Amino acid sequence: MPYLTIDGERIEFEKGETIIRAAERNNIEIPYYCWHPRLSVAANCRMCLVEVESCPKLVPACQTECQDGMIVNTKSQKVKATQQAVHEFILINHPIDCPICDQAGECKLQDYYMQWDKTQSRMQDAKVNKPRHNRLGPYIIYNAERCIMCTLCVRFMEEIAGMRQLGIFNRGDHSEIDIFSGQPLDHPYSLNTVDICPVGALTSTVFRFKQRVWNLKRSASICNHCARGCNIYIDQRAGNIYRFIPRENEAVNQSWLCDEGRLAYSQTNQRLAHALIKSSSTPEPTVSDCNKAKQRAVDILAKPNAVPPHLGAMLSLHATCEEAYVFIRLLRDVFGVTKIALLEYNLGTQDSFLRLADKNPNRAGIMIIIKELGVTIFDNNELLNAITNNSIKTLIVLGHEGDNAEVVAKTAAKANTNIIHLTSARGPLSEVASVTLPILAWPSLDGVWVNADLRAQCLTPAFTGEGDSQPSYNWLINIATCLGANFNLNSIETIRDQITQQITAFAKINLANIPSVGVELA
Amino acid sequence: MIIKVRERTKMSAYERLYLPEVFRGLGVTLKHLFHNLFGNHKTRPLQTVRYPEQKLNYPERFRGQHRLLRRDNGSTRCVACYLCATACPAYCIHIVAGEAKDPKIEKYPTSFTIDMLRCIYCGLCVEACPEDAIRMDTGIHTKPFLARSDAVMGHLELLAFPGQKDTSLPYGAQEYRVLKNTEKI
Repeated sequence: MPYLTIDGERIEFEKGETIIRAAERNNIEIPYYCWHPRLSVAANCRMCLVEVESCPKLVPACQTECQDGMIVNTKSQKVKATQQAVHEFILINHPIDCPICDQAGECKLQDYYMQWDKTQSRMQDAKVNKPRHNRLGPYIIYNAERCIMCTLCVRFMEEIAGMRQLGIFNRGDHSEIDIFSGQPLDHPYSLNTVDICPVGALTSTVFRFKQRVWNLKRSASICNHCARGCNIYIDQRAGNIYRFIPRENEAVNQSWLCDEGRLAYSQTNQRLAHALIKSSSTPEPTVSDCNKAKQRAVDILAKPNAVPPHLGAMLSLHATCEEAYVFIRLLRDVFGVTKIALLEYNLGTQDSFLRLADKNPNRAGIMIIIKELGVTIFDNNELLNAITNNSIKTLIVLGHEGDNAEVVAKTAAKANTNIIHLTSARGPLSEVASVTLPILAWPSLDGVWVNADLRAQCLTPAFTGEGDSQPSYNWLINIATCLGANFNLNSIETIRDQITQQITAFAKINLANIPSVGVELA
Repeated sequence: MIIKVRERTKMSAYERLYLPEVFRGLGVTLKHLFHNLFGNHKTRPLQTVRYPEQKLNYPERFRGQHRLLRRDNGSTRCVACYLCATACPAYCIHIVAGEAKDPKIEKYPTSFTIDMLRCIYCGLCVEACPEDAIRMDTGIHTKPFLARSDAVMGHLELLAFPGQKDTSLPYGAQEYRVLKNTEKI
């Protein structure tokens, strides 16, 4: 293996690797603005210049390939002076409007200035003024004054998105990024440019001025918008989600995320905190004590007609594998239900990159569990017919996420069906349900989703649920206990143990300890 | 976190008798009482101020009720950068930012509230403000409140303080606007 030396550390490399990658592998920090591991090299910010012995001038670490026996110095006086000079150059025209800039707090210019520069500007002339509020597309506003011309966004559009919607116009310190006339930046992956922008030049209209980034808590999660299961970070404050940020996973989404999934964050901010009850005296769903609501659900399920074929069940494809498992087990073992209907979103847009037509994040996982537990699927029309002709008198529904919720709700309202609804948000079904029990929404859950490529990925709780909400399996186990069923699933650990024992697809997986990149089901 | 462990000072046997010390304290109180009633106030003046007719002069840097400042055109100086809210140890400042019509201003607070009951008058918000938009130089006490909700002062109250230039100007010469997807590019 050939090797090079960076700051006295001997590092082996593969042919063709650049200095910056070799350094990154070994946790040696080389600052950069315009480099991105997944985009071509532009080497225009000059921030990563390093000293290579036997080279008369400094070389850009992002572009220079490692050579056998090369001796690189990233901390020398010469390099430090260059980094300062580069900053001084960039800050000639960069406005110091951090108080109004959305990037403040996660801005590379701020971080590097404090780390490598900290010198006063010697510039006497006024800064060059450029357009500060250029709307490039439906979700993106561009401030040319803050732009440092690293061209990351231009390269992203060209190489990853495959549509040249951005270009550089004008010369020198008048240059700016812009769109070609009549072609807005409306590519379905356009918001990635905001993520990779190292400064506050590109801002997202959706997140703009909503919250300062240092107030946001970040936690790893999975995007719920389609069956791809892109890895994301949830940025939230006090249970309010403000944005989704892509999380790197080579096998799923590299480091990108589609706009559609990104904009779905706000749907999760409307959550149900208390149980709702409907009765003859209260025709509208009213907030109720959760024990009373649970008792009501138990009473409905204890009625003699709450058995198949008069008992129907519906499961949202948003449910985690643990939730689905407990739901199906309860219905199969306690009530003898063998047919389960699915609450699902209709097919949506699909492209060749990340977006899949199937907009349900856990279809694969739930299908596996349904199949292995020997339950069949109730077709949507079958279910509607059964409700209409009153052969189903009681319906128990888990989740609210689905396009067919409205149809089912309308049909059930006409037929006076008793609905027990476990949901994390109000929807058409909770408006007609006799009892609605609040469950934790997916960002508060500890659970597993299986994406379309059969990769099990774990959700980690970003924040705790509010009010009386609890995980749906807690409600279900509680209800089963009240009905006198011996249902020995009393914690998430036992549920997971049972899943690995009973579902062969999960047999080799430690559900409690899935790595952050997920694990493929055999 | 730094934890300092200090030994309690031991009481002497006499102090542990308890009652003598109680009476000594009462004695101090009585001494003051008799001095205030019958003593010579020329040599040792009374320690009380007949507030509110008589007021003491506060030092120059007294931190009183907050005020928000305006620019010369009457718009709020605040650009909703959240630095005061971040610096605030009592978490009593709440800001909601909005898009300003004037592209030179860009951002302004659509709502800026200080919960005066939570505020500890430490002045860190004033220190943190990069725009000189908030000061505590009014020299007045915060008024007493009859309800907790009254104690939450909004930007209109904070802007309308004595010493402000022309308080008749409407708040924010920057009308709030919502960016629409349909806006012409």
